Amino acid sequence: MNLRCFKTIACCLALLLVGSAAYSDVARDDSDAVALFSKMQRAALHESYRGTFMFSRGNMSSTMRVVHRYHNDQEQERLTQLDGEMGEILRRGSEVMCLINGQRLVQVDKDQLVNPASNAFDGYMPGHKHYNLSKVGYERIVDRSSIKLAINAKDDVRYSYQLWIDEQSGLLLKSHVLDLEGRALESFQFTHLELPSTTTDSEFEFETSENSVAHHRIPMSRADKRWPERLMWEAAYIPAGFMSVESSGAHHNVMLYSDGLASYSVFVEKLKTAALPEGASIVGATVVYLSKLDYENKQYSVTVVGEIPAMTAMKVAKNVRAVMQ
Amino acid sequence: MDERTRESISAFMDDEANELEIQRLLSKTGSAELLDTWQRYHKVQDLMSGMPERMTSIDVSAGVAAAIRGEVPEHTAQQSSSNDLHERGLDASSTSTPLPAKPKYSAFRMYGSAVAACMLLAVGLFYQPDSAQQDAVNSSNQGLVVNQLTAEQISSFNEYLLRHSEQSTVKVSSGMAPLIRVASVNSVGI
Repeated sequence: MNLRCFKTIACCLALLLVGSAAYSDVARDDSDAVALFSKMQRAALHESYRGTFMFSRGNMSSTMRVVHRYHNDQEQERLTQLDGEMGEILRRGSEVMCLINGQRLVQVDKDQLVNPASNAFDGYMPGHKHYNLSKVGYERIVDRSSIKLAINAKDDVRYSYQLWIDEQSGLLLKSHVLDLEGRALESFQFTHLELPSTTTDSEFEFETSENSVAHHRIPMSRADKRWPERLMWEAAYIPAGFMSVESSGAHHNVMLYSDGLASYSVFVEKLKTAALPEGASIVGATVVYLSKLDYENKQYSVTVVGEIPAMTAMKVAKNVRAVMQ
Repeated sequence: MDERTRESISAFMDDEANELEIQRLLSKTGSAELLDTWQRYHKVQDLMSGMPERMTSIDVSAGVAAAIRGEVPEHTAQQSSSNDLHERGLDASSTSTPLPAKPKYSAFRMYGSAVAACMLLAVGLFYQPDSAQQDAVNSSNQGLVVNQLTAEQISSFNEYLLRHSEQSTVKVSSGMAPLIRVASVNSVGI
């Protein structure tokens, strides 16, 4: 072997070694990022915390107080709006109530949608096929050390995210939802955070008695009782990476899909309940896309709601089909 | 007012009310709350459809009741004078707006879709979407229509958001973000 040949082989070996080392770093970063994401999901469910945070979307921003715990095998949470009109949201397990101005209690009526099988979705991780996860670095947020995680969409059917995760507890301290051009559509950041060892029951109750306020119940499903029994609805287009979490209602007219980070709902209803114009209505990262659908001389409304780009929502809405079973 | 009556109003406005629902409404025509709700629904519908307000002060209940009993031949409003309206039991004394040209009952039909849903929620502020964001969406996506929402429509938007957030919070377990979205729009009408 002459010297020239030896040098060439040495260079190739060196390149291979550097390359494999770099690949190994990428792989480790990636698996660290996934582990961190899992830690954040667990913390969001099981940690007890109270604090205040800023949330902005579109041209609106608000400050809110939150208290959260996992108690008696149930997630409990109370959110209180601190700016403008008084509004509170109380969650006890699957029950969610909104109290507006201490006077009106708004609740979604979902009795007909009980579907135990859907709980299998818990802990689902976004597939690597559709997002790149990477640790970007460390930053100090609300006087705590956090790890910045970048979750970049690989296609244009979903948004990207930047998450700042508390190194110690795994709690989400700050986040951005980014559009396809990298602009922040929605931002969240704690301004004060405590991780208490104990919480009291009274922290998870409205100060106003629930019995002394006006109740408004919003039906989750607005199927028309005159629809034929055999009429069912299905989504002919599901964006890559999203999976069906729930398809409920007597006519499968309420559907929920998620890719582990983003989710969207599809509501098929009698047209007369559609109070929005056709097309996309957007606030921050949330789109509501309404489309009219004709089937056997009747008109229906298809509404897609979620944290997905408007074009994705439009494609989903335009591809909902009626099926006679 | 109970939910069933609201549904009846909504069905009536969409020309889908059955006889029982119509009778239910007619039996309550003395109710100031019902008349107020009726007028508010039409005002909202006018706003949503870009129409000028009209006929909100017309009490057509007597005429409808008579029509159900088969006492009144079908007329179109354009053929009717103000006196004709009185003869048919329609009290237009408080307004000079003529009835639209529609067959019986369907004076309400032109108002199209129900607005009961958006009336569930009170509205605090007029919402103006982020114009930069909207321009970006419009410029990058041909064929996509992005709406400017009125106050009534943002209320309906919020209702959809609440329904979506409720099920995604419970079923997907993605933390508090879905509920934050709902809480953050309280000031514009949930």
